[in-house]
Amino acid sequence: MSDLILGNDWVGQVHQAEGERFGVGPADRATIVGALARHARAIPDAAFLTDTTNGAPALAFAAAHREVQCRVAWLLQLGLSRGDRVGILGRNSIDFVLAVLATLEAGGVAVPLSPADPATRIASHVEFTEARFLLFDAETEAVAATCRTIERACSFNEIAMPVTASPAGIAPPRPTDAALIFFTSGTTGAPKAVVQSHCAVVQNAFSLATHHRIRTGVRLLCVLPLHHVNGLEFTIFAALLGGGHTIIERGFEPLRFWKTVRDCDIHIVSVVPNLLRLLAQCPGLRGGQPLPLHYAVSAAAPLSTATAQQVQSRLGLRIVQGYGLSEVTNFSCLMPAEMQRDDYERWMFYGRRPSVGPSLPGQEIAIWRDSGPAGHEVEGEIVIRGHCVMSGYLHNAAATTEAFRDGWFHTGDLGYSLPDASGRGFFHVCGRQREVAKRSGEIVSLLELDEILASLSGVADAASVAFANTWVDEEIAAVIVRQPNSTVTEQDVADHCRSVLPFSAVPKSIEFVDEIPRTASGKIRRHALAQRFAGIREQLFRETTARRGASKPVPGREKLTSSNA
Amino acid sequence: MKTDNLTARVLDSANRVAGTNLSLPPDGDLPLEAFGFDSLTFFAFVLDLERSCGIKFDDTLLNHEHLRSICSAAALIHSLCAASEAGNREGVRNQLS
Repeated sequence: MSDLILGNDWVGQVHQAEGERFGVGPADRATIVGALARHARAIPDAAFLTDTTNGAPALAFAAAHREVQCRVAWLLQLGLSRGDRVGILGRNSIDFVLAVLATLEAGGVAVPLSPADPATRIASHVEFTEARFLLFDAETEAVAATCRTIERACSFNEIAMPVTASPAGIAPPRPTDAALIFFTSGTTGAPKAVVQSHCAVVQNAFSLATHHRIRTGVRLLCVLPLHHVNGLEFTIFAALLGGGHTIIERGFEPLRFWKTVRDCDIHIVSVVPNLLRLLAQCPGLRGGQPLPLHYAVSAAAPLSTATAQQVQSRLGLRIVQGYGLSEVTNFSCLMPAEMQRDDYERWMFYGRRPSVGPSLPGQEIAIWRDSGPAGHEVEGEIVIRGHCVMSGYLHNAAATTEAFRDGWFHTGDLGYSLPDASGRGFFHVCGRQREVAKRSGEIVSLLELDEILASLSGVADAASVAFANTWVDEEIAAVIVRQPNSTVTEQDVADHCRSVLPFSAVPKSIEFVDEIPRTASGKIRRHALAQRFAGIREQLFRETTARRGASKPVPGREKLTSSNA
Repeated sequence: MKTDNLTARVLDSANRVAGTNLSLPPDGDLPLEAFGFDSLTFFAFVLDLERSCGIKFDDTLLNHEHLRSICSAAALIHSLCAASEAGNREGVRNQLS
């Protein structure tokens, strides 16, 4: 990374967190939008963003900066004050990115919202964050209208119109000011709102831009949702900081993937493991020609050794696996981007599971065992501290206190480290203490789902279950105990869940039982329950278009093969 | 494999993956849009075609024109089968010569 890109904001600054020093970090004036302003001056015509859905030419840094300033003027005219929260609702698009950047530039706090959520859930997120404003795309206008707690909702098109107000005179945000709020399942219980500071956001982008050597001319493909940390903070913010170019897709399209990689000359793509597994199932689509793609970054769920090997042998593609959470502003660990073949195979193929690599600069990771950090090869809870750790959970001091103990953020994930030749720890994730499912990289809180199931009239007891699934890594099921004389049906349960949860979190299979198995301390035996659903491991469930609320199983691969033999 | 058989197999596969029970109009075709596939289920349909028809798609599939309808999909598979058979014959000739 050149001095041109870093500027003077990065020289020798040290961040203090919990009394510890974590090496070079961002200076007071460093922000993501500050990087955009620098690039607009230094590399004005370099491509920054391309949206594959509209066929428009790439938006260059100078043009992006102008577009952001236009939206800043709009937000200020609306009366946005420092620290005001702004909900941003929409599918992947350049307008979504510009809305986020404008909110940060204007001194607001951006709250990315998922358009896949039901309207009631979106409205509750808006209300919980006390968002004053809501910015939305054309497809979510009806949902935006249901968010009655906001002062004003504006479409992305509306805030792109010129206004007379001048954004001059805005004081830059302080590094500890909140920049973004993401909803996550949290380490325990119901979803929580993670508050990320400008310092954390810019440090994460800096670490990633440095690690991946992102600079002008490096192209990243964004197929993950921009309302998640990975989509926004890696493929957009890290590219922005490094002066790279991001090609934005609406989502992951398996059949279009390789064509987009070739046509757009993509160097780096960020995906989740089940998407890699899908691509490896149909290697012919890749074509025989050499690819511009240097590697795929995989995170959000553990990658299996088998998938890593298939991706290598069938697609000729390397995987750079990483690990992180919203609470640590995206990535905390990453495998080195360039390794000798022997080293790559050692860490990816020959251990118990593929490594997620060593910790990134500015962060410290340890394995916590018996109330303290443990050495290499000892399994325990993964704990993290440093620049990228969140400010806390919004309106939830108890959960924040619970997550931070002894100066470390406790992830609830289990892992171990192995030393390389220099003694540096390469981490491996091997399980979780948290009661969550990971469906296609998205975290679903089973505890929240338990509560939703139990709140349905006629249900005496209920438990949600994550079971292994070929298509999305883990799928969701529910086990229900009816109250005496209750006639509650499978459809009642599905409809109830769909009214408050996105399709991803709705149980795809529902069984009625006499009793929920529990441990002596009352914990649900979810692992035992998951065995009930082993028979539908190969099924792909999709949302029916006829009636939103039901899901329909698509025949599994093995079943398809046998029925067509 | 005859095109009529292929068309029936493609239709059968699409119905199975989509969970529908659509049929072709007499002497007509059916757009794949009718099955309401999303990107993931469309991919599942492609994988099912590979298995049920015993073929391997290549990057020609990336041109979506080939998979616009039941009949266009059957025609694509037919051409892949023909190319595969021709390749096999060529291989046998090379071994004999």
